[in-house]
Amino acid sequence: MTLRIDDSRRVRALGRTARRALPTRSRPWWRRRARRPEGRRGLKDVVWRSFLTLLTACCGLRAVSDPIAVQMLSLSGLVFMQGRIVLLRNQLGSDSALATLAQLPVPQPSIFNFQLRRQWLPALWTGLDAAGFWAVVWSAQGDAAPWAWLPIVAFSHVAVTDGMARLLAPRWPTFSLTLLGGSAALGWATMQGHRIPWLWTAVEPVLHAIRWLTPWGWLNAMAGQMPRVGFGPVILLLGGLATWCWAWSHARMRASWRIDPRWREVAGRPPQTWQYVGDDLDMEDAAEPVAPDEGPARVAAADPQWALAALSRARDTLSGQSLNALGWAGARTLRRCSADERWLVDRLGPRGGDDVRWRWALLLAALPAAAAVAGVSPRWALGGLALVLLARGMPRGALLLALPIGFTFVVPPAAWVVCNLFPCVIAVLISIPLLGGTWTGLPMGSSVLGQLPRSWWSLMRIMLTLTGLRLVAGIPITTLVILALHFGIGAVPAAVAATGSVVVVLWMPCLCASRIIQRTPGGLDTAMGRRLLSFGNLCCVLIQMAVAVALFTVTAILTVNSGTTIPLDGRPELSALLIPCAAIALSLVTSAAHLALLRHAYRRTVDLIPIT
Amino acid sequence: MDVVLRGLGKRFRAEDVLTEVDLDLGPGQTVALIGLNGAGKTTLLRCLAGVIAPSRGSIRWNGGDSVRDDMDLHRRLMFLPDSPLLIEDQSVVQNVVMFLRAYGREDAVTDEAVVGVLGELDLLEHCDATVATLSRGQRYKTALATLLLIRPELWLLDEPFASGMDPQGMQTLKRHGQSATATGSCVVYTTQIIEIAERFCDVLLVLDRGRLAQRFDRGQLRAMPAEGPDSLGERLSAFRERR
Repeated sequence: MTLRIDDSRRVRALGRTARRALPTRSRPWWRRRARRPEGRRGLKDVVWRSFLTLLTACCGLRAVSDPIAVQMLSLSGLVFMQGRIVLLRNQLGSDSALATLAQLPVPQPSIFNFQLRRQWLPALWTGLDAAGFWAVVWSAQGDAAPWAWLPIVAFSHVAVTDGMARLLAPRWPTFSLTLLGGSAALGWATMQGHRIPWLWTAVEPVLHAIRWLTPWGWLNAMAGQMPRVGFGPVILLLGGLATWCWAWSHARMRASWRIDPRWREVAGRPPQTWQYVGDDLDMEDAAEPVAPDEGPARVAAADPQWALAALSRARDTLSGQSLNALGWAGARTLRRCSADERWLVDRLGPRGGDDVRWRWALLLAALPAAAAVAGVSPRWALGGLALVLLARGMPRGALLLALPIGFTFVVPPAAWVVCNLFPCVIAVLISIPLLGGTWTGLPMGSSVLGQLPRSWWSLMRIMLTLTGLRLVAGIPITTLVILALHFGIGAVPAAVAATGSVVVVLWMPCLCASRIIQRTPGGLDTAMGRRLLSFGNLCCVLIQMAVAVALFTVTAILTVNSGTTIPLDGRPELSALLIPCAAIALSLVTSAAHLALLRHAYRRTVDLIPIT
Repeated sequence: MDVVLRGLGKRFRAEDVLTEVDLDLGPGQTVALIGLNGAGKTTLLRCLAGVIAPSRGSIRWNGGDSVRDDMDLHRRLMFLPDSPLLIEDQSVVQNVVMFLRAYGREDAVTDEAVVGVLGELDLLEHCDATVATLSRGQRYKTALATLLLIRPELWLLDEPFASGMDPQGMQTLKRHGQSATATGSCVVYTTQIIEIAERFCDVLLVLDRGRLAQRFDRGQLRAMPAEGPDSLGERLSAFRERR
């Protein structure tokens, strides 16, 4: 076919086709990927983390100021918990050095411990969110909250988590004892620290330092000085700045996550065909050569003396390192991974998609609360979100939001449902695949989405299960708490006891499943092993949700019955401390259950560490 | 090392990659695995190496069940994938030392032996270069050097003759392989090169769609014509046509 030059429309079409085929050649400069993708991704991640952390905190504020919003708080908390699980899950098997280690006769616990330590990093990340979330909830409950306890809650979570990561021993009893001991020590120090003068003398300067040097300390200081309602814009600004600092470190942490496609080879999975979507295709970055090392990489002649010297250095460098040092070698590899590999791997892994999904879910769940706190109508906030979706080329999502918003103008009484409940339902729907992935088991499939049952019946079943979970876990706990209040036992002890019973009931099958997996020949590489792991994972999810529901229920009760405090050693303000402490302790315990399951399941078949 | 496979099967999702594989491997054997792409050669090697667990059947290494739990047993075999996994930012000698240490052979292997093997594989001049800067063939040679130094009882090599090595490297591999089998080791490798498979093996196994379709010993291979319908190449072509 002959192309006429004056056929401008066809020329333009051809140009568009060419641009699609060769996106890096003719793409406008503002759409080109930065030459240093890590920095840009890190910045973007920082912004997202700051924003979402802040939204989570706003959910807490909204829930305290408006008891009805507890429903929304639960939903966002649910999404939050799912995000945490997904983060933990995806962290497994994302280590390029493990691919090398797996083919060597290295004791599997060594490999697994190396891996397990790394998966505490995202736990730390989400733990900060949790601590901040509860801190804000607590600070909004009244002026009596002692300022120093807020950052100590956050930092104790970090310290215990990090301490466990460091102290984690290859054997199960040490692991569990460390965990439980750490939680107990945390609780004891929190509750009894002020009674012991020497301890208090040592701790108080630290508390002061934390108050002025940590974001949550600033946030709490500002929150304590401001009226309970109406400080939204200020807290948004300060909270954003504060969380930015934390998020930066999180982003740096995240930059070290990667999924090595070679794991697929090690695990014997057939290679997959990866599909690049949209603007992510950038061959220039992918083809960027690896920078050579500095120094004399080669010698001019093949000199045995040179080789002997190099060999001697290699032996000396690694001398004194046990086989566990291979973990060190792997970590070193991770740190020095070339930028283009990191770029490639970040895009190969479906974890990015999971993260995006989770972010949207959290955003949807938290946006109405944030808008209410900031004094903006949720209707307009959601409308803005619809515009953002439209601008990002997601017209269906925009339509999904815009239609109900428009409906509220026609039927004003529906505004509350549309602006508060509807986004939460959508958030849960969005996050279902994440839950589905967790539900159906860790090691299967390359994508969480691929594991989700596609039929509507399956979706309905999951939704019904979620609803049932809230009822099953929430009703007995709420009943117990109400009864306890009636008989004067105390809401918090009753809630903790009730939650503990739920945890025990769910934890036991989880551990049993892991034991059976461990003793099953072939482990996770058998259908039975996978089913058991799925079952155990489901138990873990149930535990997390039960804890969330219980804590939110207690919060709701304490909020509704405002002024209900439990005198504690003549310091009523400490009663409020029990809630975040219980949250953190239970969160740690449930995390331990999940990790225990994974640990036991993978010890036999570490070669099948999930390829996600 | 005696390895006994009985009814071995491996399934990836809904696809059976290996089906009912029965095989006995013993000391002093050189076994070539040949077959069309996707026949299950690499999967069989991975199963033998204990990297993946079979879906059905059993593998017994010296009468033991699991190679992954038994470090002593694991140290008696070595699997070399076609793209060897090495620590990218470490030098050739650092990788060699790491492998030796993992296999518990660091003290047994002298510096002179390391230098000798590196020299045989033309890696001396690159000994201090990081693996990331090496070519594909040199990377394979690095992994091969570790194998030659460790000298396990069971060599499992995936496509060693299509690994980017130069002819000198291939000759070194063959020479060491023959030396190893003479001292009781067993060498199992996959290849697509019929000429090599015909000349460098004691037993040639033809895999077709996950099954051991044919087995030839050295005598049969010698008696096989180089061309014509009974030649090995024509037999493989027949498998392809049957597909």
